[in-house]
Amino acid sequence: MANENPFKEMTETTKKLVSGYDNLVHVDKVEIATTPKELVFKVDKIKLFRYVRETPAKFKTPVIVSYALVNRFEMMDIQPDRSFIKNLLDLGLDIYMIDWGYPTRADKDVTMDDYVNWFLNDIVDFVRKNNDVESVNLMGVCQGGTLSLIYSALHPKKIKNLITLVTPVDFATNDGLLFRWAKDMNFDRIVDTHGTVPGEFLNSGFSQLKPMMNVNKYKSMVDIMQDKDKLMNFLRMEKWINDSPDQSGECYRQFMKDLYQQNKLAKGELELGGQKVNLKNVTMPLLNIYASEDHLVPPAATIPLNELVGTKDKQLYKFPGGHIGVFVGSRSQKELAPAVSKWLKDRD
Amino acid sequence: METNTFFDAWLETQKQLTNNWTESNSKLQDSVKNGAAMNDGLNIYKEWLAKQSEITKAATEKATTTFQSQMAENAEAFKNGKTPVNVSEIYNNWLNTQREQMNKAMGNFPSFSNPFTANNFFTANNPFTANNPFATNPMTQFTDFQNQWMNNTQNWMNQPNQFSQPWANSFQNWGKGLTNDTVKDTWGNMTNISAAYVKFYEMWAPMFKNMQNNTFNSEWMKKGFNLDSFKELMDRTMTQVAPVQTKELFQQFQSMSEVASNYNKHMFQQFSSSVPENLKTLTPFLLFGNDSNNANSAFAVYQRSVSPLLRLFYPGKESELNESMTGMMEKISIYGQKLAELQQAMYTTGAKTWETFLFENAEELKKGKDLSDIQEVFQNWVNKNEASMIELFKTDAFSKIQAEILDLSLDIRQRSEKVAETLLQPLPIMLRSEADELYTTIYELRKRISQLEKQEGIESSSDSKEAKSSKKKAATV
Repeated sequence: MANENPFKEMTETTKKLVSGYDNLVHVDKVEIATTPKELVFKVDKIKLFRYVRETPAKFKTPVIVSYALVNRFEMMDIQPDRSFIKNLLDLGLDIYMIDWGYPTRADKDVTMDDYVNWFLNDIVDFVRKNNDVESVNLMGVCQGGTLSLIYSALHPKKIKNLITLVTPVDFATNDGLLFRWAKDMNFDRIVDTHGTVPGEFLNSGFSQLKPMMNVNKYKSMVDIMQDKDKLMNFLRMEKWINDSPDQSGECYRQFMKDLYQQNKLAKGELELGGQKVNLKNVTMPLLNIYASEDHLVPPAATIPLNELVGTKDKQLYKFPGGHIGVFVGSRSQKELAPAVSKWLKDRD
Repeated sequence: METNTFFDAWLETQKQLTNNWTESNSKLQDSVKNGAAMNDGLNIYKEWLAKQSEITKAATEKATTTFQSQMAENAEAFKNGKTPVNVSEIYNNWLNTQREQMNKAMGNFPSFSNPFTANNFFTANNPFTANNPFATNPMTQFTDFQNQWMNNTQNWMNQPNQFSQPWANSFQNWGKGLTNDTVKDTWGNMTNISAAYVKFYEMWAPMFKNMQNNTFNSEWMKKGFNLDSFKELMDRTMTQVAPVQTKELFQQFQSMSEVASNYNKHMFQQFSSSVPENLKTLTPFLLFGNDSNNANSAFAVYQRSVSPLLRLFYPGKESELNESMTGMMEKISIYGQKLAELQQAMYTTGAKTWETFLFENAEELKKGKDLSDIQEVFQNWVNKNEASMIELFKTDAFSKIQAEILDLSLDIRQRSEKVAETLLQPLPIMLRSEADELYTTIYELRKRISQLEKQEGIESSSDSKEAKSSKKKAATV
């Protein structure tokens, strides 16, 4: 029994650590996002990649993926057997990925209007021209989904189909702690002090949402580190999660004040570049995917989108799991990409 | 005279603080006698903290105003060739009186003053790992008598402690042999959590033994609650809850001060020899530092960080610098109070969860549940602790105080940067505000060029090259 020998647990843990350490010592590189892609376009400091296909695409309309400005798009291609992107490629899609890059203090003045009406618009125009199509499919993830939604409302003719994944739209909810805490934060002070908001600062807020998450995570590592494959899976996620770009101050200011604090997008009050963003202008088909256990973007912030848009062709897709599990979970590998592919095929 | 008013205010504040201390001590000692220290102690601490905050808040406001005018007078006196007011003597008298009062008040309970003495502000970037002069673990108030009891009656309980720390340290040292950054960071985090797991075991094992022997009860739990171990467990498991990066802020500020100091060390010698003394005697930080021998560490840090700046006063800039620095001091003191409140809320929540967790397990054991799997028991505690912390985080009070602490820390940072810029102004370097202006201009030009290129139908050379390459690829698929 555990209590009969007070050192038993420590001895067991020591054994695991010693054997696991040997595996760690031999890790030279931790590689993520290895699906081949090439740089095809640049606008200001933003890059657009196109994934290399071995066979011709089975879809006429290409897909542009717009990831969040927080963290990096590599999560969607974390490793070959857990890659949402690779799964979509295998199903015949032509995929472009936006790399928002790493804003520095020199980018502190870049606004939400710039992201939507300058960078995203130039990218959409490039892909339309490059693929010789009138409109493209736009797939937005999390904050990148919100930007994609705003873009679609402002430029509806350029978007054939819109897919939003774990995308916050109705910020009035207090279901998620971030949504609650944001109501009390002084975002002007944050931006005025930092200029460009540090990724580390944003990450510390995310960690606090599940305060014992690190305990659970690293405790499990003690048990799995003897298995090289599982250890590498763990390290890949660690590499991704610790890579947090800073955010342009002015964009962050408007996003947090207008959306998180005043919920202007859902209310139809958001203005960008002198134009009001009316979600009723979203008349293209919409696939809205949310995660039932999402603690970062709770379903209450995502689900109302379908009631706010103008399109009649809209589908709400519930995925059982968390914010990241949507992309890297084993269930996702089997279900999500085929579901997205089928939905797009029906509307290609 | 302003100086008298100032010290009268300080003395009055100290009396109030001492009365509050005495009252709390008295309550606490009664609780110990009645065997209810664990339950009552937290409430007493909370009540004491609330009063302390109220008193210090009012005093800080008054003191800061007075301090500002005092410093302005001194600066003015110096400019006019007069000797600045020497307040050292008054200060010493005041300090001695205060010390006597304090000794009387503390009696046999000196440990009650621990939160406000002799710690290192530089490490105060996390309320749980922090040796913050303001935000020390509220429960260390009771550690002394708890430890004494533990040492006398249950020495065996502490035995694992004797090697758990070297154990954790040795594994953390192994991290030095890892070369990949991701791997190294992961190893460090994992060994920290493993050490937390061992700490949990240390706390759980004696409780479990008593549960098995049917000797576990409320009284035993209260007496056997090892506050040091509990604090370490919380520190190790809640490391990511760090409201502000105070350490970096102050180190950066000190570094900037030193750069400026090296360039200007021979300037204004007369002023530099008098002003730091004045500052030493007038700083509102002394509200929190009641042990004159150790000196308040926050004050000491302030001295290291800020007093070099005072040697660099520029003609015409004294008031501006005084205002910025006293403003910073005021904000730092309020920041400390708020951080203490936040930390108190979190430790109290954690302690209550621990208590509930133990009693629930004791009940389960009585019903015949097998609790021998320590990993399962640990996981159960982790889940409960997370749930109770999230409940705390959901409250309006937590959200507000967290936002307030963040705002204060950023305000302090802005002020420190303003001071640093004032000091660095004569040097042939680009200041941050100047760089920011340049960045804004470059951003506007980037945008303008892009608009003009679109108007003229021009593609930038790099874009067109990439586009052509992509076209080629597209044609092949």
